[in-house]
Amino acid sequence: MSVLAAVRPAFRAIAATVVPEATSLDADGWKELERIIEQALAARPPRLQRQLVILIRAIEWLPLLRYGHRFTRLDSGRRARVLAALQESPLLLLRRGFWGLRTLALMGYYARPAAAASIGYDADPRGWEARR
Amino acid sequence: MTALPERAYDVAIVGSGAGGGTVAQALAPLVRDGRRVVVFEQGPRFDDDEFTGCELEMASALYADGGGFLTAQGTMTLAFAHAYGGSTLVYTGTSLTAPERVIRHWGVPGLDHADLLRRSQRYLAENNVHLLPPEEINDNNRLFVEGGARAGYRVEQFPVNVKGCRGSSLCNLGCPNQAKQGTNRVQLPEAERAAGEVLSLPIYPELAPTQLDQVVDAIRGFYR
Repeated sequence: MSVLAAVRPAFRAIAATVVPEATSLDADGWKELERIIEQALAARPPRLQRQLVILIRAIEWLPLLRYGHRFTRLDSGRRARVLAALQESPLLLLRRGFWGLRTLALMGYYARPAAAASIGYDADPRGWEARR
Repeated sequence: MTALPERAYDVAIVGSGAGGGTVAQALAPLVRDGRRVVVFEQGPRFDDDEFTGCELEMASALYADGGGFLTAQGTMTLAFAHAYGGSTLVYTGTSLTAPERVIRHWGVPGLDHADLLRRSQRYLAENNVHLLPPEEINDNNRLFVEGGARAGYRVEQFPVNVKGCRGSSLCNLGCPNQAKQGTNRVQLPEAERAAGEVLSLPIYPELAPTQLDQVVDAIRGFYR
């Protein structure tokens, strides 16, 4: 069962703020990114999955208080400021939650073979022989 | 779930990594003298061809919580392996002997740096710890050395415990070429060989969490 389905637009807005390169992903690229994350989440307890969804919902709605708009309606600069505030929050729970979310976004983006190739990551079991 | 068979041991070692694996080998002579020694390892034992080098596959297979094990306070994550060989399976192979100032700072009664150095020689030899020859230093590290030297730093190589390294750059995902000489390749097989054909030094693979709890309770009882 999909964890991200209920919060997909907000999740994608967050992921594209954490990894700006993700804005250029097409539909298949996003599908692949989310598949990687869903696979990682499937092994985690349901409680953690629920907490993640709650956090994403909170990130979507919290900016209403400061900017009068939801996260998905903000420009990229404001989105980055919202996430930076979470990262530096005095509340451990928020810092912890955002750290996990950020890790997932980075993993989902960079674990795709296309992203690995684009940054020149060419680890290969055959080692030097494959790179010659 | 089937109940674990009840067995009695003289020594129970928890974990099969750098600590547990080394102790298992060191205690192997006791097995020849009729003592029963067991190593408990939570993770599975992988065959050589199961180290594929694929990031997602190997991270979830080798690491606790896929490498994102969160500490109880939730303030940091730890990446450690649970498999036959423990974290010696996934570290980069860097093999250092603790410097004198560290041992002095620890202040452990009876732990003398000179003695530690002497004992370490055995493991450095067994695990083929050495400095890589210049032709095996990759571009990243070569640039780092050059940059460090130009900035006025003294840059040194870390000795590593590899044999037949092919430069896969996949050390952290379990060497796909079996080059890294962790306890899974050196100390544990040696310990098992010493036990002869009798499984008096078994390695239990793939314990289920509930079975692990049973084992932990039994071990606590053992040490009480």
